[in-house]
Amino acid sequence: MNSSRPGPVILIVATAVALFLLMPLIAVIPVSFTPARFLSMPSGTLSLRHYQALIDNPAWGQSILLSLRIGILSSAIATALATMFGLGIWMFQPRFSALLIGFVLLPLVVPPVVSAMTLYFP
Amino acid sequence: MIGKTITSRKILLLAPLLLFLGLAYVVPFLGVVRWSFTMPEVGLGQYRALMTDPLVQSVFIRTLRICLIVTAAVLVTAYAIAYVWVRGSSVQRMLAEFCILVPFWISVLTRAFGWLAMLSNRGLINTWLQSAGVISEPLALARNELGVIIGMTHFLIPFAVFPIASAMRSIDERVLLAARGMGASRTRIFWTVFVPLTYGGLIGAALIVFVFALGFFVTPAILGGGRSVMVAELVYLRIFQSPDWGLGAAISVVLVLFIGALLALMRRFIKPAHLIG
Amino acid sequence: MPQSMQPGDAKAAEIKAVSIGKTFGAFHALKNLSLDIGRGEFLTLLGPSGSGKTTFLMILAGFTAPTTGRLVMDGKDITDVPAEDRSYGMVFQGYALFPHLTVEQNIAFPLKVRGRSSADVKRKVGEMVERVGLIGHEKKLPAKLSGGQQQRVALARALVFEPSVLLLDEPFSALDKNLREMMQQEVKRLHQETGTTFVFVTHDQSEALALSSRVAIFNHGELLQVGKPQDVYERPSNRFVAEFLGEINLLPLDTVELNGETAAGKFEDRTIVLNKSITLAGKKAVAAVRPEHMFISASPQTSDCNAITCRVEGATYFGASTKYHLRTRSGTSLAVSMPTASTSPIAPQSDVWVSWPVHQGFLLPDGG
Repeated sequence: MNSSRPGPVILIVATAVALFLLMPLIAVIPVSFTPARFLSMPSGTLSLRHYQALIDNPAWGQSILLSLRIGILSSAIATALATMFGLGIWMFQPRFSALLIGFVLLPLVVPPVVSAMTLYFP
Repeated sequence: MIGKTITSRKILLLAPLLLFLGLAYVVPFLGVVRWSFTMPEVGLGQYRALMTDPLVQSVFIRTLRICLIVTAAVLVTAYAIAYVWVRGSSVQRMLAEFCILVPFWISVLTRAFGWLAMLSNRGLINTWLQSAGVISEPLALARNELGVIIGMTHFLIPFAVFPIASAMRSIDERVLLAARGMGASRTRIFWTVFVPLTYGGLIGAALIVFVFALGFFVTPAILGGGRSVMVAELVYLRIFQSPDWGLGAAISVVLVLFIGALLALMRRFIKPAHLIG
Repeated sequence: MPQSMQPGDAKAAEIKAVSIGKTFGAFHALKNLSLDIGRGEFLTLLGPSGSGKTTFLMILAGFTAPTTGRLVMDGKDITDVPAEDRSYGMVFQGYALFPHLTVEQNIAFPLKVRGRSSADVKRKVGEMVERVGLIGHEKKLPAKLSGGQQQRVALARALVFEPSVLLLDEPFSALDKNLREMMQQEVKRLHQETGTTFVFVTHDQSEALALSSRVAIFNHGELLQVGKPQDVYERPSNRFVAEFLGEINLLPLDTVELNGETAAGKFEDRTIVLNKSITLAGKKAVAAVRPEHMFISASPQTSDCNAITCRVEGATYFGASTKYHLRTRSGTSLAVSMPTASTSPIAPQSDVWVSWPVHQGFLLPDGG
């Protein structure tokens, strides 16, 4: 009873969308092998110079480590706070739960640059 | 006293996040609001500037234009892939899910650079077209509004797919069968039954996409190349480059109020559970 | 009543199903089923869940393709005709109304699909709304209607384009008892008024007997028996049909002899005479008698009746009837249902005679 398997039109559009979604992610790979200093497609020769730099320059290694540390710490704190809140809402169903949930979701819709500026506030 | 312990447990569970957001978000934002009225001097000067400054005006108009175009493009593309994700054969469903989730998990920065690698003058598309002899001069695909629209559409498709797919999944299969049994063609069923039954999901998706698009920063900054500045980038420029904190704060306040009003107006279409599908 | 809706209208179709089979992987949902559906009849497909009755209805509708066999409508092979081109009326379990359309728009949908003029659509919808008693509800959305009203919309929508066949898939399963009986009468009336061929699926035996001109009983993907309600109820061809259609007493018989139209066998020390409705392989069989065909008395009834001795173990009062629970001397339990008004109460633990007319009992194969 497959009353509405995708027809040809929607399949063509969806295939185009799927390619559109994957394209830039695939495009990044050849660019990383370019011998040039600027963002470009490698023409003729491939080079590992950018990967070499990643290893040689201690700044890259340090920043990757810093990213990892911040990522782990902030996700741990966020998960802990959100889990407690979620449990609280689920267990007690407080009177204004919709309002409370709306409040904690606010950062989702506040433009990141406004958040950044807000946090910049001394 | 059981009542007392329940209250204290409730506070213990709910308070940390509320307190954190209060201290890390609400209080500082109130500070930003204060800036907008006090910097450089006390008064409504920044808001008056905001209303009259032609640069600010043009950025607002461009932002609205880009957001509307992106929202329309996202809805159409997301609808097509969501349809295959929900109603395709098992192989089609798997492929669609892969194409939706992989970009979703990859950082906004990587995706913007990916598009730069595709669209820039020495990027994939121009290199191919030139080597194939189709064009002699590279097409201006990036560092303009077109690049921004492409990058933002790409970023926002998954966010629209989730609410749309959720609406599609909740359609009763028998309703579609009934329409078929009454002699309706597939095209007719799609436009007169299927699509109307997903209006809720479409409106929710449009809202999410539009609101996210309004605050976009990274993608326009990279793909716009400073030439098609959107409002978020303008705030950034006012605060971190030409110290004009008051105007930056005023724009932020207007932006947040606008988003708040939009969400309040459309709140019956927002289902937080549908955001992640 | 519009001219086109007269009883016996040529719109009613006859359908022949020839050796229909359906497998889902290794599962045989339908096995070699052949069935003729007559013009304008009310045929009920009856069976427990998983018996294949709904699969058969979906094959009739064209939503499911049979693995083997053919479907022939009015002499034309329609096996490969898709559902949208068969355009039978269909009432789904749960009604499947369009939730975004009003009552009026729901009923108008099949007419609009057929490209009828808006004046025609308006007139037909108006007629149908009146016919199913929905006046005043035209502008409401389905969610604002009661279960019975939704049912009426579903019926109106399925009948408005005057289909040659109406298929109904367990349409009453969501309704409470009173509403259910009312809607059953409504459907029966619509069948008489339209003269269309109705094919109805249910697992409720009393509903099947009350509504149909014929009943087809399904089990494990097989069609076990087709016949008029009285025939399948009083002359079931096998034990499953006998038990599925209602409570039945089964008495194991020894040394069964067949003499023309009747059969005789021994139960305990009595000779039991029955209708012979089956052919028998061995000497063993079961006598089957419905509880309401038996009666209890102090002495055996002999004229054209069978009689056995039993002990009363208890009684259940049902208002109009009372059901007595009894046990024979050899330990077989029996149920006898008698009108409450016509009998004086029978004391528990008393020894009584249970009798029934010869023509009311029938023979069934042992163990099958």
